[in-house]
Amino acid sequence: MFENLGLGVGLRAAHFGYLQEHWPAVDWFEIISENFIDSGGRPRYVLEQLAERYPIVMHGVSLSIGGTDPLDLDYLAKVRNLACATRARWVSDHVCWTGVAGRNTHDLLPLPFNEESLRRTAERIRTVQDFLERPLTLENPSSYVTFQSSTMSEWEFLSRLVDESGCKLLLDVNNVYVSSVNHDFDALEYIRRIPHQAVVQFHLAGHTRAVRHLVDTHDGPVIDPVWELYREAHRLTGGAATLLEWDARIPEFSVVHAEVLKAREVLTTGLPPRVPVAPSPNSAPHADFGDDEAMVPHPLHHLTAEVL
Amino acid sequence: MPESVPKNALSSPSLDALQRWFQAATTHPGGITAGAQSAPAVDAIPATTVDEIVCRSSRQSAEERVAVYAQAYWARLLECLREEFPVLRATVGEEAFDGLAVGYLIAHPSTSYTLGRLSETFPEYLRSTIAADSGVDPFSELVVDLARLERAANDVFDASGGETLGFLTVQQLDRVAPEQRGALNLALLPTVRLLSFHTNVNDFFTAMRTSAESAPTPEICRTFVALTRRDYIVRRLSLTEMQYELLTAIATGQSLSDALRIVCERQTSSQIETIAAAEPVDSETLRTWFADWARVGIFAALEP
Repeated sequence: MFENLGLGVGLRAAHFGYLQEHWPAVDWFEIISENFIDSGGRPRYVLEQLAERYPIVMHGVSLSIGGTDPLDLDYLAKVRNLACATRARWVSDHVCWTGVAGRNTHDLLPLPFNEESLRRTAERIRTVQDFLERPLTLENPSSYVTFQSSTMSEWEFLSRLVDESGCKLLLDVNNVYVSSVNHDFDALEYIRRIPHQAVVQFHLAGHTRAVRHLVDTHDGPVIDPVWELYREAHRLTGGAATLLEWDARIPEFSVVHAEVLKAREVLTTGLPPRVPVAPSPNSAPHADFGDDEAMVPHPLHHLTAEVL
Repeated sequence: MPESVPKNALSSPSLDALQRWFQAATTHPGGITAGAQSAPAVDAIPATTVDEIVCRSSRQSAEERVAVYAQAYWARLLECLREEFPVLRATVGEEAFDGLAVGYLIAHPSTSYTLGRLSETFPEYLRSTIAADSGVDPFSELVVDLARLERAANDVFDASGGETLGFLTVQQLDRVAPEQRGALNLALLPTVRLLSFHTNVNDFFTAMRTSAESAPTPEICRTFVALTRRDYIVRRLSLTEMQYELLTAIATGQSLSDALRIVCERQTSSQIETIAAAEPVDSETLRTWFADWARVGIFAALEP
């Protein structure tokens, strides 16, 4: 079920036309589930065409598995239906919550890592897995705060979550890097201490450096320290399906595809050691010192109409 | 153990309380300080400071770190609304649009799993705010009409449509015996929206797509538009009042002859003469209308 699908690309509306014209040799595509579960228009049409030609993986942003509001069973039913229709290889979301008291902030909000959040999240994962009739795969999101009520590290939380729920992990290597800078931990230690046997997928992406923190903007190429972390994660896990996300300032498809194909080179010959792996906000090589006002963490699931 | 995980977690609010506090702090329009002191935050975790809940990092205070989420909340949702209403935004200007959008988000925060529904009630919100503030003036009415038009276009974009359900064609209509046409029950496709406006919004929208300088002066007048989709592109079709009423009657399930009768009853005497002259249903006028509507994709294919 969780075979190594190779090197995939996140499906984005900006590339619909190109894909329909060229059907490029891509190993697989990942979709943002929320962009397609209600669609009867072009997004759904393009997805159906892609699903006939490529493996599809569904990646959600609204499950709120760490939330305290009741699970949205209507949403989950739609996820299940689309997974069936597209023969999705697996379904993923994030270790996060998205809102409370009936609201959705449309963000991947951070959890405190403690016994209560672990117990509640594991319980909800089991419920979702029963509903979807398949294991759930969960991604480590980038985060910008840690809580005083945390009693364990993120990697310990993930390890115990896997043990207690049987979920799989989508290891976002860029997110590890971003969070490691923001929270002053060692990204390499994180990579070494997560449960490697549970990792079924990797995410790669670019990020943006703000004045005193990093933001997971998905708007540029992968930086060398993230590639180095990826290489180590690949070695420790034995390899897994790898996907590049590019959600803002999206270039033409060939550029996005070429970026994920760099993984082959990284895993065979490696990148020149231009910068140390140990991240530092003052030495991080991402050149784009972003304007804080303009930075929006991604993924962001929103499609707009083409009108004549 | 990373530096940012405290060795002794002193404050341990419940997960639900923490989430309510965090949401209140990061979604308050007045910023983190105001959010942390707001009623929902204090109800969740009374008498506390941000530092008691969130750890600082080596470079950022606890409040600065929470502010990353607050900034992202507004930026993300504003980005969606800006993308969804490009002509409205160009018409009122960036600053005014953002002001309206923020007001809307405060009044109607998202409760859906999808951002596709974020702006569902934006036109009604504008109607209840700007139009109420300024009475009936052409520009305010235009703003509401533009919001309705752009929101409807987004609905049409992603609805199930004739591309998969099948379009009615002129040839299909021609195959119906003339004496049976009056009894036809045509079905509008789920992608069709019949809209009546208080301004010349459709002409304004068309002009703004080319250049703002060419946009006509907003005028109070009743106008009618059908939105539909063909080849996955949203299309606009200007309608006369009679066409709008005929399509609206058909949309409610009336047969063609009943729909025509309803329209006739609503028209003025001079218009009745016009429609009467067009009867029976295979008149040239009606044929032209239905051919145009079939071409843009208004009706679902007839059942075989």
